[in-house]
Amino acid sequence: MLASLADGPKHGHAMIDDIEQLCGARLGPGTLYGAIARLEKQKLIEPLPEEDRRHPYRITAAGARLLRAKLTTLNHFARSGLRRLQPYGKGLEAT
Amino acid sequence: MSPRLARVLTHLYPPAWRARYAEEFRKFLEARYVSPSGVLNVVGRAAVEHLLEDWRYALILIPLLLSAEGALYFASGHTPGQAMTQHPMAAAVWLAMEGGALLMLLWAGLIVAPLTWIGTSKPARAAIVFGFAAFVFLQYLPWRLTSPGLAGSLSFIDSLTGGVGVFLLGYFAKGMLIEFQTFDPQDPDDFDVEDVEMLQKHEPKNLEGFSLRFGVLGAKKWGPARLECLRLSSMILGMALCSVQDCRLLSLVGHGLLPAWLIVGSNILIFWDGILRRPETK
Repeated sequence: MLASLADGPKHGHAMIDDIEQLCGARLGPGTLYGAIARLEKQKLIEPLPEEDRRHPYRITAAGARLLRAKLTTLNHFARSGLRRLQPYGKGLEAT
Repeated sequence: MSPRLARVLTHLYPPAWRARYAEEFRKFLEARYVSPSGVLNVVGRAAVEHLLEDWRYALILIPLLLSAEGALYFASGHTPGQAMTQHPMAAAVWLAMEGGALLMLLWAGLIVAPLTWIGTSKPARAAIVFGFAAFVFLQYLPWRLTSPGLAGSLSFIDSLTGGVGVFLLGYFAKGMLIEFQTFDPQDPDDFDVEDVEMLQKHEPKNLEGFSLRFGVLGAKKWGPARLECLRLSSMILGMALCSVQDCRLLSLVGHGLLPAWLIVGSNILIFWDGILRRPETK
């Protein structure tokens, strides 16, 4: 959800569609609002004024910091793993 | 969703949660089509929110469920006929437990069978069919065919075979999910199926290698969400049935895990909902 909000505020409908595009998982309504409640309680997202019967949210500075830290860790892990695989190429044997 | 149903579902949540999100959530539900699995999702999350709000709900609710169903299980006897003659409530509980067993069989047939079919060889498929048939026989038919005197021994055999079988399935599903969690469903070419097949060829007894191939092929066709359904169902049922292996009295725990059956049922809906789902109205 934080990654979904990173590129701009969204309401719940838009978040569900965006998260499905990002990672293939379609959140149920209960799951979505459970996560919204949890993230808002931790001050990682904040609500914006209602627009046309929809309630958008945006990521906070704390949420952005947490997301950056999480993605940096994952990126480091992925790069390290791929670098270690370089000698092996496609044949799974060291060249 | 109809405003009335949206109001009912919103009212399932605890008061503190409703004070903040009720109006917003109700409007959210009214503005879109919510599938049956989505309704189950809302109901399940409402229960979780109650538990999160006050953890003492779990201390009260779970023992109550286990005690009530366990007592009725023993009071109902070992056959539906005995249950029917004793008390209608006992008969209803027995039928509910039978329904749980049927639900598990449906889950096995509707989720496990199609997902395992694509990643297995012919001998493995034959083993799966035979294993499933044996599982059905050992878990379900003896309750119909035997006298109450043998029910105690047969229930132990049922529990042992079912627990071992589902535990293995859970191990398999867990290994599969761990292996393919680096797989990006948005970029299926990220994972080379040839590499995975080579791994399986060189290490045929490696469970993780087999499960990885299954996970890659399954994720490409059905996506990680449905495979997660399989993993969670397998783990929950494995834990539930493993507890029954230990002692006859522990069947109280095994059969008392009604939430496990509900989760399995919801996972069946989630799995097929994505395939049969109607387009959402925006």
